[in-house]
Amino acid sequence: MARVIESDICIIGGGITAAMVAEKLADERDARIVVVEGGDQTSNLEDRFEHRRRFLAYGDNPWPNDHIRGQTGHGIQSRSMGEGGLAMHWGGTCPRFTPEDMRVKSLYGVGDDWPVSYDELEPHYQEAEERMGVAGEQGPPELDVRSQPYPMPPVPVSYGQTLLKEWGEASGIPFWTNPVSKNTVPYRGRNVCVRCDTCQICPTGAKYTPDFTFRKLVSDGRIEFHSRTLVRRLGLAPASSRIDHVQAVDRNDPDELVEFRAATFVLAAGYAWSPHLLLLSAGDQFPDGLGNRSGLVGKYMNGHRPVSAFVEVPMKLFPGMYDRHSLISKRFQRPGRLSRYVRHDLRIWESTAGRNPRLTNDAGEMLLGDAVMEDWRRRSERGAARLRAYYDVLPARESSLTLDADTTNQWGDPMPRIEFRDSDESADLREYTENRITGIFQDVVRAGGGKILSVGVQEGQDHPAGGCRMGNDPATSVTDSYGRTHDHENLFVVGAPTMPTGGCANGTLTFVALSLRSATEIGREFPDRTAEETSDASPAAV
Amino acid sequence: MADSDRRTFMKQSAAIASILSLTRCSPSDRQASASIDAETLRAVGHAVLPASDLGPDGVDRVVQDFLEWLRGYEPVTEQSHSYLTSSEIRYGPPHPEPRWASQLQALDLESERRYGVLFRELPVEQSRAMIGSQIQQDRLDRLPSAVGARHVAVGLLAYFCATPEANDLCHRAAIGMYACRGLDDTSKRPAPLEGSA
Repeated sequence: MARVIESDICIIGGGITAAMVAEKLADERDARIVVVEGGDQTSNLEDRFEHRRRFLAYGDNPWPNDHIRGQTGHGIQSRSMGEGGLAMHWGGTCPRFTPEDMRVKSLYGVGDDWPVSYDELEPHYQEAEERMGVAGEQGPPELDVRSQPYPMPPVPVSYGQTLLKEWGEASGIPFWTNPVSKNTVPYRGRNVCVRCDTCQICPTGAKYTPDFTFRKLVSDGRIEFHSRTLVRRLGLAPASSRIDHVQAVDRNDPDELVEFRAATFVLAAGYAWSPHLLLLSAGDQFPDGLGNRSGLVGKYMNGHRPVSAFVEVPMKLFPGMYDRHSLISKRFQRPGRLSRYVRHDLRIWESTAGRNPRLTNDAGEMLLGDAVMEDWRRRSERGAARLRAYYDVLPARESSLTLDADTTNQWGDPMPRIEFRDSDESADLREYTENRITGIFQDVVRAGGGKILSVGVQEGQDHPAGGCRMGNDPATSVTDSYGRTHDHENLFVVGAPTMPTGGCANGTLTFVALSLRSATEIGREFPDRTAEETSDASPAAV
Repeated sequence: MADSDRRTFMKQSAAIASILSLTRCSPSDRQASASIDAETLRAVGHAVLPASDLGPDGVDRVVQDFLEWLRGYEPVTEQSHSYLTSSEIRYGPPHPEPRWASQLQALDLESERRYGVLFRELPVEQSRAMIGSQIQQDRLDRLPSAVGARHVAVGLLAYFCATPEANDLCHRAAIGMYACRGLDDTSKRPAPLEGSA
């Protein structure tokens, strides 16, 4: 006999999109909400200074036990699986995509348009920024499209960034500070950033992480959160295409099966585990996996490829002062008419490339004692910067996540194998794209001064997405624009997996905005609670 | 005294007591021990650390800090995993203390055999040359992480170079890397270190 847990809405996954969907639904709807997370609960805020100390001193994982042993596949994939997911580690970088990202077919004749426009998504971007708490600087309006101000003033520009902004803008390219989900004023009960410069573990809670949302919702009795409970299958109602339960294993008591029953199921498990679970849930009625009549579950995995340059700049910099923050330009995300499709962001950071202490000088002589410091000091007289562009890579249909029967977890389930592949058009454009970006790097350096030390292209892709692409046609997509699967009316997939293309900027804010749009649709089936009370939990009430 | 201050004080006291007890060992004890010989390590510090910037007291303080850091090391802990691109969980190396302790013993033995005095009694240039010949074989260009260093001298130097103090000294400015210090003054050029141009 399985232990049965019933609710109105069962959210599978405990990361940032799950947190945002859970919070919005709890704010707006009368519904019993259950969140199911396979990994452990994360550490408490009060323990994070010590975790940070050990991370800095010894390189220890600042988020201990943030993964499940054996729960991993092949390909670009994070090991993070736990309360808060990968967004416990993230840097809090929150740029929006631009309107072009959703219309690449219409505007440039490549890839596919999204079934939702920037204008439709814009209020959800704003809501995402308000719920998470984003501090940002309005860039030039023609490049940085938004209808309302950021919820918080931007993080201050560091001394080095001030110099680098002037240096970068000598090329005529405008730069401004990249928006981040870090508090510059007290916000939603969390602290103000105090520049610890270890954003991968923020010891003060100034950076948004989903655990804050979950813990508040749980303490207020508005959701149930089941950690260490790994969902293994989605199950159909008899003679129906509706989902009526999920089967899970309680990692505290692996012999006991747990069954979650709900009216609506929300798959919020990210780009890897969402398509994985749909494929894993294949059965007689859906032999290729749930939601997969199109054959597109696990297809069109997408992202963007980074091109980086390390540059010596003609100025003295002082590394170690808020240098995790960057400058951004969206000039090349909104390029206007193009003869060949190339779109990318452009960012500038301070760097210590070529300026770290070393044991051997260029002549091969060993350095010890004062000689180490003299060499280090001499090489630091001029600063260094990192330029980086994420360029849009359009995915091939065969850019895929599949079940790998040769790699199973401790419960015998095949693990995902993720293999990214550029579409033919992107593959044809690759050399041209990377040369164009390198040329822009050269233009920046030519105008501002200095020299390029190295240029590199990362073979993999950042901010992976896809695997359950959204669209209006059930033959060419897995979900509609709200993430509702075409094949199962009460099953939604939210966030990253639904994206048809990966854009050319960090994806998290867009994952969240899409998820909040989905939550609006999911909530329609449940009574509206905002009509009967003033929601003091709304993001505006800070 | 706040709890955190008290804990720090207790840790530092324990570290200092331990260092003192180590220094009371006889040479024969040292040869049999797998513990760090603090006096020999101190001599290593004066050979490899930038004494002109730190001063003699500063070198001794860094050596003591290094010993405390070493005492806090836990072998084979789960290491920070990359954000996205690796599915492997890495674990840290075994405790370096036995290896480093034996290297310090070896420095003493070699010094006694080569020069007839303990390593700590050598002039700095001579001790630096001895260390140089021992680490030359590692063909290191970049400094490894302290705990990843094969040789104790490299470990000590790497430990120091990763500190905010070293970064400040390099740039002769009060940068205060990794200090949590509020958003005020973010945009200001850091103040020069006292005594620097």
